[in-house]
Amino acid sequence: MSDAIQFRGVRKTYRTRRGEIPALKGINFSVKSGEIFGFAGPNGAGKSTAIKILVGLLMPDEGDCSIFSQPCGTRDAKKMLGYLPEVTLYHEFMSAQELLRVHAGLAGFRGKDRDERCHRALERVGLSERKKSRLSEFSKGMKQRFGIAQAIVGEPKLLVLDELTSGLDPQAQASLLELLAELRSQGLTIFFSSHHLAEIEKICDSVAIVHKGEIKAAGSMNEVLGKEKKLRVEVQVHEEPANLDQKLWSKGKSGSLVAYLDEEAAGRAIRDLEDNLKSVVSAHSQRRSLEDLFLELTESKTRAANTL
Amino acid sequence: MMETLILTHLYFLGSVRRQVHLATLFLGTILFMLPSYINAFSLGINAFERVSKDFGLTLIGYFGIAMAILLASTSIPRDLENRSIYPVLARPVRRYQYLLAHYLALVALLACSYLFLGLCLSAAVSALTRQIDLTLFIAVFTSFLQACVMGAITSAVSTVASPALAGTVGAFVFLVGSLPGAFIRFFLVEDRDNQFAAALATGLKSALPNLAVFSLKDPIVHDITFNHSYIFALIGYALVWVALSQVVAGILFGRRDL
Ligand SMILES: Nc1ncnc2c1ncn2[C@@H]1O[C@H](COP(=O)(O)OP(=O)(O)OP(=O)(O)O)[C@@H](O)[C@H]1O
Ligand SMILES: [Mg+2]
Repeated sequence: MSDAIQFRGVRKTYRTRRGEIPALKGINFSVKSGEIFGFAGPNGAGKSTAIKILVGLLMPDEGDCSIFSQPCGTRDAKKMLGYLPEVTLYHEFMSAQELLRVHAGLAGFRGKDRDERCHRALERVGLSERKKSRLSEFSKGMKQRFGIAQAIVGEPKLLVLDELTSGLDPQAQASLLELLAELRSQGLTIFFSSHHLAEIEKICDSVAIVHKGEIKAAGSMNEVLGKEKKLRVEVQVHEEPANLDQKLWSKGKSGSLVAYLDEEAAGRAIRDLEDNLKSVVSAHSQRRSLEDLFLELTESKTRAANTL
Repeated sequence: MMETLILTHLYFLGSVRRQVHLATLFLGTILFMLPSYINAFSLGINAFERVSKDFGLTLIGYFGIAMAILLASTSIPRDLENRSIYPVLARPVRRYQYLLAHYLALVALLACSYLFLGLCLSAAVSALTRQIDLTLFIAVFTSFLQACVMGAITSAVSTVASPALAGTVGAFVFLVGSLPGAFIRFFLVEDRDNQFAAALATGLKSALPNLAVFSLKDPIVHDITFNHSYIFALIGYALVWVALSQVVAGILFGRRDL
């Protein structure tokens, strides 16, 4: 299958009065056509920057990216695209239906066909009853739903969603994930960023983890997380031993240590902790979770600032 | 082209729903009430006609310029600030089309305002003179052209500047551009012998549009005949400045990060 998205050595540095902020340090990855691709990373990792380059709002300093072989930012690339921005105030003076018509019109639909598509998009996100309300009267979650309707109304080949489920209640989240799965079955490629790692793990075919402007891992779920199950051991320690094997142990939640090991190695590793061991929180067989991998890859001294 | 029109409609509607036109309605009411401010009986009908045309056209002119500068300096920065520009520019819309749409929406709004104000003034004047004077609309039209030029320049600046800076630049261009040549000659050179200020003013004036040419108020108020091909020359002159501003705006905005 051909690639829906390709990033090749994309670099972007913001120049501000306070100096330069390197947001992307030469990222490479690709998204296959027809898959759901999750883009994860802590706050400030560069996700939105990469997405804005993808939809043509920012120009990369170096490197290039393409959508179905069309350079990003060109009209041809944008024709295939539906985009949900991270934070946006839509034109609040318009009603949902009116603004959706504008977007469908910009995507090239006219007349009855356009109205039909708007109706369907609003129905899909559960807003058809409020279609005549102005956007200024919408709640945050309703605006997010409108944003999704706006992204899918042009019947794009590629959906790019920045912060997919931000502001959505659990029901809306679940129905949105269902909608995405349905869209994928119709052949759409979906690329989204999210802080909900469980959500990514649940529905994505592939994933990339970005941290401080660099891709730390990318590929299919199996490639990134490994296929085979291992023993996941989580322990609490009194104090982190000075000679802790950093390759083995990574930080889990609330100061615990987590390792994925074979049974034999697990016993040895726990014994090595000696007196520092406070308690074994859990030990069970499972595939490495995305959350653990994420914490492992993005673990740093600035953890507090980067909490999810 | 269709994209541009769809967006023009969106931005025009935006101004209307933000009730920008209320200010126009208010001024229209003032113009309509002119006969009750200017006492026609102490002036005589003839003088009344001239005073009210002069006063009315001056008011319309300044109002239009203020409206053009205010709207042009804020509309694009507002889109950038609240990021409503993102979903729009992610569509197959070229950036110059987006700029053009904003500009056309402004022109449409100005056209409606000028037409309405011209009608109000004309109604007020003819209420006493009992004649409809169509030449009044020529002066209103050239004043409209001037506002269009100012709107284009201010809007070009606003693609890279804050609303306050764009507004200030717009007001400055208006002040320098409408400075009569006679002012420089008599006030700066003959009166004060300030050669430097005169050279600076002349230099600036020649780099900026000459807005004084748009003022047809005096010939119209005082029934001085002028060649009507002058109007077509003015249209051409305005179009050149508008096109130039749009091209510069397109270049400035074309590659900027959003
Ligand atoms: N307009 C801007 N001007 C200057 N710096 C910026 C700008 N936008 C982003 N940055 C910087 O670029 C880096 C990456 O930001 P980006 O918005 O891409 O992060 P993100 O991964 O989307 O984070 P979040 O999860 O919080 O949305 C950050 O350090 C941020 O401060
Ligand atoms: Mg972001």
